[in-house]
Amino acid sequence: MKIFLLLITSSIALAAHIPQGQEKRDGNPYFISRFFKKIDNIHTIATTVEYRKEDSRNEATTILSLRRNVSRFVQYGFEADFNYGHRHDNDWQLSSETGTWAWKKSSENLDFGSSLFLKLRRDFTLGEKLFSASLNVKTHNNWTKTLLTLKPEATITYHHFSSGEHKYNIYFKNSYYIPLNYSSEDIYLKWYYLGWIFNYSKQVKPFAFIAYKEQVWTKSKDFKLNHPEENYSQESKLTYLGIGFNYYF
Amino acid sequence: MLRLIIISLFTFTILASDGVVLFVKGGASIGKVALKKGSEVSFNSTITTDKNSLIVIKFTDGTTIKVNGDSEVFLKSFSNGASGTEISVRKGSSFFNYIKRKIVKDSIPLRVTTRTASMGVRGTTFFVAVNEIKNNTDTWMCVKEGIVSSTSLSTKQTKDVKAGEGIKISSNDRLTAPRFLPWTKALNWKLDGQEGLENNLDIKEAYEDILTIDYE
Repeated sequence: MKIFLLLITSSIALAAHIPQGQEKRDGNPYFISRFFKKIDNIHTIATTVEYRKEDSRNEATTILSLRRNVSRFVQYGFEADFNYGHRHDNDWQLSSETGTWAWKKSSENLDFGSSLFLKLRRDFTLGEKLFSASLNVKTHNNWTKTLLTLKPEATITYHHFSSGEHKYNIYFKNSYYIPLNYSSEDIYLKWYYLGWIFNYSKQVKPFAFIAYKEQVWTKSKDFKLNHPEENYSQESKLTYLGIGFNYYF
Repeated sequence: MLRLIIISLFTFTILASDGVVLFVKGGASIGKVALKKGSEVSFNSTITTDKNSLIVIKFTDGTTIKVNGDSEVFLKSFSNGASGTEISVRKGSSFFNYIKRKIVKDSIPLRVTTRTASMGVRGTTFFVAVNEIKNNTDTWMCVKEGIVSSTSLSTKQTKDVKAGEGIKISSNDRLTAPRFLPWTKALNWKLDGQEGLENNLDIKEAYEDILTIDYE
């Protein structure tokens, strides 16, 4: 009996400094609005505002980007982003007051970042079915936390025309976050999107999508200091139901 | 007698027409002369149409042309076998149907030009539209049947456009690769009959390049 109690106590003690449980909520709400303004035939300014629920947390992002079309097939640009509520590896912290381990409230996180990106795109037809595909490679720097990330993103889109009129698009998008100076994971975050864009007009294109995200948090700075020999990784697997719209000025 | 022959020939030349109007809707004219069904049309003249109008003309060589509303087409030179027919779309849009003939081997019997392009035709049905956008002129051409050889007058590039494909020839850009343009499916290719000839597609509205639209 004594041995049994001892085992339970040590197990609780062990678990206390390792994040427990897993975020795996389905159907989190996700909203995206995008505004595009063509400066001329080559340059476009785009603003994206996103909100999503991350299990019990809230995340919001605003992105401002300047894009230049080199040709129909090549685009590059610069982005600046402001992020609210994003959880980072180092948010698993030891409280100096209570001596307990807990995730820092992500609502306290406000990050500023910037990116450079290069997008390659191509259209192709299968019979009279029109498709486009793109590969977008982005280097992101989170200036607030000094986190460098490489973000390759691949998209394939089917463009549906009826009687010569562009009715809707169906797209599949997949992006990976490859951490360059943090995390012990090769891929820290994966996104999968399947969406439908209704070409209501040249100005307004509403859309709906489902998304799936896998994210892994590994050893925080506090954890490395206090438990240098130990390791952990906590996964978050969430699905989303999203809506949004694109507006073209 | 000689005088009579000369007068007869002269009169014949004046009266001879190169084509006849098959259908008119709204207003169409050559200069100040309004065209109506049955009017005769000669080359070296300019046809203009009013908004929401159209005219169908059949030429003696078998070529049929449907000029859409708010357009201007110059009938430059007419072929009698040796040299090619040349028609210039100066404004708006037109449909062309050229019936292949076996007169001159390796010749281009019909040539359609715009400010930015020259299109050589060897038996085909195709559409040409001219868009003025600020300081730039875009020529759109798409082919329903046959092949049209398209040349940019600014870059001198030439590309063959096949059935089902379209091309853009811009005054300040390279020739685009010929490709399937789904919006051209909405064009009304009908050239004969007296009903249902109207083309309701607004090229400026319908045209879009899916690659230059950011969807994300």
